[in-house]
Parts: sequence; structure tokens; C-alpha cells
Amino acid sequence: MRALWVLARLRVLDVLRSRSATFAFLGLPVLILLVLAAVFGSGHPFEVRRVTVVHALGEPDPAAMQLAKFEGVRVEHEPDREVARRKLETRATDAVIEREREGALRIAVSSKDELWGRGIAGLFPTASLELVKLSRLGYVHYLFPGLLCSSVMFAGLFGMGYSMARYRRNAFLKKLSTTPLSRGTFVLAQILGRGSLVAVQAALLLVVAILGFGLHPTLGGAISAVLVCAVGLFVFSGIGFALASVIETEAVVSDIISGLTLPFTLFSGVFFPLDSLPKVLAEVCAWLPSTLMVDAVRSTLLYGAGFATVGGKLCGLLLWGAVTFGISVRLFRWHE
Amino acid sequence: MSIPFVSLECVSRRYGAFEALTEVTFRIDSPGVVGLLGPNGAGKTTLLDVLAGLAAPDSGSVSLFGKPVVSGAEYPRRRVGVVLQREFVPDHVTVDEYAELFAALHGVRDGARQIIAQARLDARKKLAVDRLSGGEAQRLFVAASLVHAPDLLLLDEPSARLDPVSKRELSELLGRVSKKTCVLMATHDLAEAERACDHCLFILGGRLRAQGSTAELMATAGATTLEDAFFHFCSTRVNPTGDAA
Repeated sequence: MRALWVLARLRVLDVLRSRSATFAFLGLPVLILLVLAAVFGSGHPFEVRRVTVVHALGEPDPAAMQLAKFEGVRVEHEPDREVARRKLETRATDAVIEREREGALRIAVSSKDELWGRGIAGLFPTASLELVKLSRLGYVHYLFPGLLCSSVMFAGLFGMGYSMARYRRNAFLKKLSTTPLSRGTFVLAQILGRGSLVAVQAALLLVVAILGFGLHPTLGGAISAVLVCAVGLFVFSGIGFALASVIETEAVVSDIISGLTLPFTLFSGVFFPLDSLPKVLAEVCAWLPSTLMVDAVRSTLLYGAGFATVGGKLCGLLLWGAVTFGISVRLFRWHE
Repeated sequence: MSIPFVSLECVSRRYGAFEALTEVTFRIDSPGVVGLLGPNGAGKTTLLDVLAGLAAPDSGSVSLFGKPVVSGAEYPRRRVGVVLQREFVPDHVTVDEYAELFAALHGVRDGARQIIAQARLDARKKLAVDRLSGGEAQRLFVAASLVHAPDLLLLDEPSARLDPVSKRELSELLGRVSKKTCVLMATHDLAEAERACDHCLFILGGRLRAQGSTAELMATAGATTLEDAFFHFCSTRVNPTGDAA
């Protein structure tokens, strides 16, 4: 019986003696609750209704201005009709409004959203309503780029951060540093190794999404998405390296990465568009590397956008990569 | 006058308030096996780290092969082999993968075959390194550190996990290697040191207590074995501060 208490006590102390483990065990769940309450305190993210107005950039469409006055309605402009329809298909928007030649409005909504469509149409006397039978897998299509990017993010953070901290703790990096191996060769080899695995993982996910869930990206879109993922891997590997350079043990690195992946996953548009978040938070989150990657992959993979369209996001990602790698190279240590 | 393999001049190294090495001075002029002897915490591993370019001295100078080792400058990695006190191999890495890695790191073509042959692990080359016995693994680590035929070999307690047969084999291997190479070996195995080492350095409390040929040191201490000489030079009961005798 005494052994039972001694073992149980040691198990408790095992957590409590580590500040990071104590925080992860006791503090993190409370922190997550507080963050989620602050973000979603005024409603869940799917309460917001999105309307996409097909309209060339320039003067705002009067219909859009009228709809934007309603609470809980977000209006966005999209110059390309096909992209707008694809957004409806993937549930990225709830209604598409386009102007026909005569100036009359055409409002397209899901056949399941007839009541909502009638509500919008009722605002405009000349509007016609089109009920579109959407694929039930549309939201899976919306999720797919986010899930793909999440796997890239995990590969970069855990694959680099955790492994490097473990290698350093076990003096494997120290051993390597006694050889003529250069720092650059070592870092590139790690990225190449991880990159190869991520490429196989992404290809596998893509095949399952195409065969199992009817995703049909263009060849150009798929290639662009792979390139964006490669840049994303570079960014998150840099963050992983930087963490492993300043933190001594793999357990603490693991706890911190677990803490980081929550906001990266939740507030990067993986599950729902950022405009569901409070405005300030949405503006900050738009600059997260994970958001830039998810947005760029979604645009290329689902909406057939080319590099010209996602160039800004790609530049943003490259900037993140330069910063995180610059920091990690500066902080990198072969041994404790 | 020949160019020394190793030359240290008043080398000190601190870790915070702890002085791990204090004004250590010695030189090694010729190939051979040199034993680095002292109790736990005496500064042996720190001294090997300084020589391996893994830790910079806070003061004093270190020269290898006649050239000063300056922090940030090019360290002669291609002329030095190192076996750490605690070697780690990532999970599931096999003997031939490990051998291939170190052959590639040192740029030695056909080096993997040499390492496996040297370690006598041909029959076990497809096995994960963590499945080897302690002695087999240590043979592999030593063989990998020799693949590029280094002029200086630094070994930190290489026989700690070896059985008597493996210890004898290691001594014989070092004997062969030391015809051209300077081997500096930290060890607690004084019988092995007496058998294998031509010269010894006794270190205590970060200070070098004595140095010389094994026979001379035993004579100076009036000892019949190296173990007796060890207690003469390194007994903390005799001199707890570790001040030079």
C-alpha cells in the first residue's frame, strides 16, 4: 500500500517539478478557455453570413453597400464569377450576387438556404433567386487546404524543434560538431529530409482528396500549392529550430509547440474564415505565417489562382522564412 | 625541435563560478597513448572539450599541430577524431548507416566498409546500433572516429562499458593506432591505463598535478602500480584543494 502512495506522489511531483509541465497541465486549459471565451464570446464563427458580390474592383456595388449595413453579414467583392461560384460550392460564402446585363441582380444560394436567399432577394425588387444544389462535400474541400497546411506546420515545428532539442540533449549534435560538417549542410539536410516526407504526405492527402472527396485542382494549382507548402515548411522549420536553440529540453519544446499550434490552427482560417473573429484579432491573424500559407494554398488549390494572385502572400511567407531562419541560425548551438 | 601535436599554455576554463580548469600547461610532442587520469569532476572532460574545439578557454592558449586554436577560426577537424563519454545514436539507425554517415562526414570513400571491418561488425551491420552490446557499440564509435586517420584522437572513457576481453582489444587497437597518432584518453581504468599509456597526466580540481612517462610517474610516487601513483597524486584526502604538488 505504501508503494502505491509513493509511486503516485512521484508521478504528481514529476509534473509539478517542471514549470513547463505544470503550465501545460494546469495553466494551458484555463488559458485556452479564456482565449476562446474572449474570441467567441459574442457568438460562434458560423453565425456570420457571407455574401460575395461579383464586381470589378473600383466603385463599390450599391447592393453590397446595402447588405453590409446588416449585423452579422460580411460582404466581399470578387471580380471572377467562377471563383465566386467555387466559394459558394466550398461554403466559403453563403450567397453570390452578380449583376446581369440589364442591371438586374441574380442571387445564388444553396438550395438548403432558400429562406436566407429569399430574404436577400426581398431587399432588391428586380432580383432573381437561383437555388444551387451544392455537393455535400463542399466543406471538406474548404477544410482540405487547411489540413494540408496543418501537416506542414506540424512537420516543421515538431520535426525540427523536437528532434533538434533531443539531438542536442543527447549530445548527438555535439558529436556531429566534432566532424567537418558545416552548419549550413546540417540544416539543409534536415529540411531536405523533412521536405521529402512532407511531399509524400501532401501527395497522399491530395490523392485521397481527389479520389475520395471529388476535389479537382488544376495541375497549375496543385504545383503552386506544393511550392507554397515548401515555403511554409521552410518558415515553420525555422521557428522549430529557433525554439530548439533557446530551450534546453525536448519536453519543454514539445509543450511550447503544443501551445503554439492551437492559435496557428484555430486562427488561421483552417476551419472558418478569419472575418468570424473580432476585427482587431482578424487583422493580426491575417499576418500569421499559417494564415498566409492556408490562404495561398486555398486560393491556388480550390480557386485556381496563379502565382500573380498569391504573390503578396508568398512574399509575406518568404519574409517570415528569412526572419525565422535568420534568428535560428544566429541562436543555433551544437551543444549545451 | 619537432612541432608538438598538442600544446596548452596556462589554460583556464570556468562554468559560472565553477573553475573547471586552472592554468593547465602541457605539451605532447610525439605519437603514443597519453592517459588523462583523475577522479570524477577533476576536469578531464572539460580538458578534452577544449582540445576538441567544443569549449573555448577563458584564458591561456591552445595549439594543435603547431597552430593556435583561436575561437571562431578554422579548427583542424580533419586531423582530429573524438569519442565522447556518452555517445548517442538516433533510434533505429543501423550499424552500416552509422558507418556510412561518419565516412561521409569525414569525406572518406569506402570508409563505411573500413569502419565496419575495424569494429568487426560485418555480421551485425544490418542491426540497429542500440541493439548492439556495450562493447560492440564502443568498438563502432572508436572505429568511426578513426576512419579519417586522424593525427590526434581524443577518447573520453572509451572502456567504461567494456568487458575485459574488449578492453584488451581496445588497448591493442590503440597500440597499433598510436604508432602514427597521438591518442589522449581519459579513463578511470588504471590497469588499462598502465598497460596502454606511454605517458600520463594526473588532474585534480581542474589543476594538472603531475605529468610524465608512466614509468617515471610511478617512480616519482614510489608506487609499484599506476593505481598507487593515482592515489599519490590525486588523493583529495592528502590535498583537497588540488594544488599542484
